Amino acid sequence: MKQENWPQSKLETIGAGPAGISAARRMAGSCLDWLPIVLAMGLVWRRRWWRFFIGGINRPLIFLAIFAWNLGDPAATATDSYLGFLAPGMVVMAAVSAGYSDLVNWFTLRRTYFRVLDEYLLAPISNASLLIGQVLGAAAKGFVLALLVFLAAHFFVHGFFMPPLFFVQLFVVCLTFACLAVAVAMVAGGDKDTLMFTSLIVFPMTFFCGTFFPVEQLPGPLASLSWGLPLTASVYNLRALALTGAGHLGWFLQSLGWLIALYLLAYFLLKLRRED
Amino acid sequence: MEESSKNAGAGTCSQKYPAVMMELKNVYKNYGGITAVAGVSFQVMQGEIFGLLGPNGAGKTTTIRMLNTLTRPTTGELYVAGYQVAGNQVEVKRRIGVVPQQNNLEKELTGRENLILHALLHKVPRSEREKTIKELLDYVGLSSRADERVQNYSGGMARRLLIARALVHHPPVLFLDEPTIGLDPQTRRKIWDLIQLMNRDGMTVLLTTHYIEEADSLCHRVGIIDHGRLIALGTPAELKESLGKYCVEFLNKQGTERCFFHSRSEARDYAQEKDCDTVVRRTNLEDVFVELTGREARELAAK
Repeated sequence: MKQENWPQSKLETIGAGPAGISAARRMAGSCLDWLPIVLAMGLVWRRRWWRFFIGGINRPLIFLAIFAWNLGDPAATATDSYLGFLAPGMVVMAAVSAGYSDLVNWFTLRRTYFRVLDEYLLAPISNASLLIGQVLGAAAKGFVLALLVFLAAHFFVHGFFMPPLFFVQLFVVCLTFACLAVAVAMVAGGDKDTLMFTSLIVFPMTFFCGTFFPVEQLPGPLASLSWGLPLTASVYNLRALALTGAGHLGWFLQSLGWLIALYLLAYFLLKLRRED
Repeated sequence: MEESSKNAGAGTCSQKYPAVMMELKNVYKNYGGITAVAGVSFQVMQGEIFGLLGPNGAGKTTTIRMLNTLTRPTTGELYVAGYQVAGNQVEVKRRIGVVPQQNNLEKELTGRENLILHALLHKVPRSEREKTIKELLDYVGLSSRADERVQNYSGGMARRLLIARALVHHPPVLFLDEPTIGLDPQTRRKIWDLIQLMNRDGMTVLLTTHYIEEADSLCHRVGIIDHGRLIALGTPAELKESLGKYCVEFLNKQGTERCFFHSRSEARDYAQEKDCDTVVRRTNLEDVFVELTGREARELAAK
């Protein structure tokens, strides 16, 4: 160990460091306080992006391929085929899988087992910035993965629309489920708890919210219940946008409402956990 | 280390920071019905190495977590670098470095990437980042292994990297929670050297340990904590003198017994009166610990 070379720069600046940054500069930068979290997540993700992609893209692509091989009509267009109906559902499934599953595991393991979360909690940023950074980082990953699935769907069926609101709606889905992931991770005692929540709530949701078939085909009370879940309105709006190019404001606002509600829940639980 | 050589810190940041760098005022922390910390009050002066000594579960880690903002106290006030922790968490976090008890490095990243990650989280300007990280890797002797994944590091290397990581944003206050736990004696000595070197350059250090030798060698002042209460506070020399400078140790039917005396002649006279094998020696911090807590430190450390 080279004990003689204690950094000279520290002798001059010890104690000044970031604390020496002017208050004005800190205030100017406060609105971007979440950015280091996103960059830090990107740095970690860079090491395992291929595992993330393979794990996330696997299931939606298998569903698309299986249905294409069994029902596929090479001449069918998106608007007049089941594959066209299915593809937006698979895009949402990919977004949920990437936005939710990855972050919930990341948070839970780092909080309860590896204690790496402490490193993030010790960063000099607010709870809101920490949450926004984590949610944006996870949502960005989910968004990229969902887009890959959507692009892959073009190999099986053609004629999809891609209006700008489609991408906005897709990002809202990713953000919503990233918020849900943080909320779940804050109350989970460990990875077994998150697995149970995912199996009981999130996984069924990806099937019963209009991804594979219209919710109207569900028995009465289940159809009503389905519209009370955070995914249904998003799936319907995304499908409408992909198949017709036009969205439905009510569905969009409903999905936005879920995003706000789950963000507030995640924020509240994060704050509660930090005050514990 | 001789007591005389343990002058508290070089104090290079005396202009910027108050003389009292950390303060706890009657701090309590309850977890449900369990009281982890029960009315602890003490101060840590600028440039000091302060040790919290105590058995496992005594409340050391909870105390350090309350000071570093990770745990909120049930009642009481805490101050770090002139800021009350409650309500000023961001300001406090800018001024502290934390070396946790558990290795919480990102194991899939390299040593260098872990430092970059910390620099990003603490918003170290890009212009400074590379230079600081290079200097710190040199400082902790990990330059040659900096681009290896942390999962391949030994316990000692990971511990040194944790120390380097805590210094990336140039904090004036450093918390070390059991910094040498599970390390071999050589690595432990190296970590001690690092801590003393950082302190020599003006850093205020609060460390927790249940290794009595560590507290005795490193710390300017020691607080002994047990069952969440601070039961003794002072320099190692003061604590030893409070019992008596000399100790007579002998084995009887009840086990090892120790008697303390203020002079060597008193101790020697007492030893000569005993009709069994006796040892006359200087009182050490373990004697203080055992007398105060009523338990053997070795048993506690093994728990």
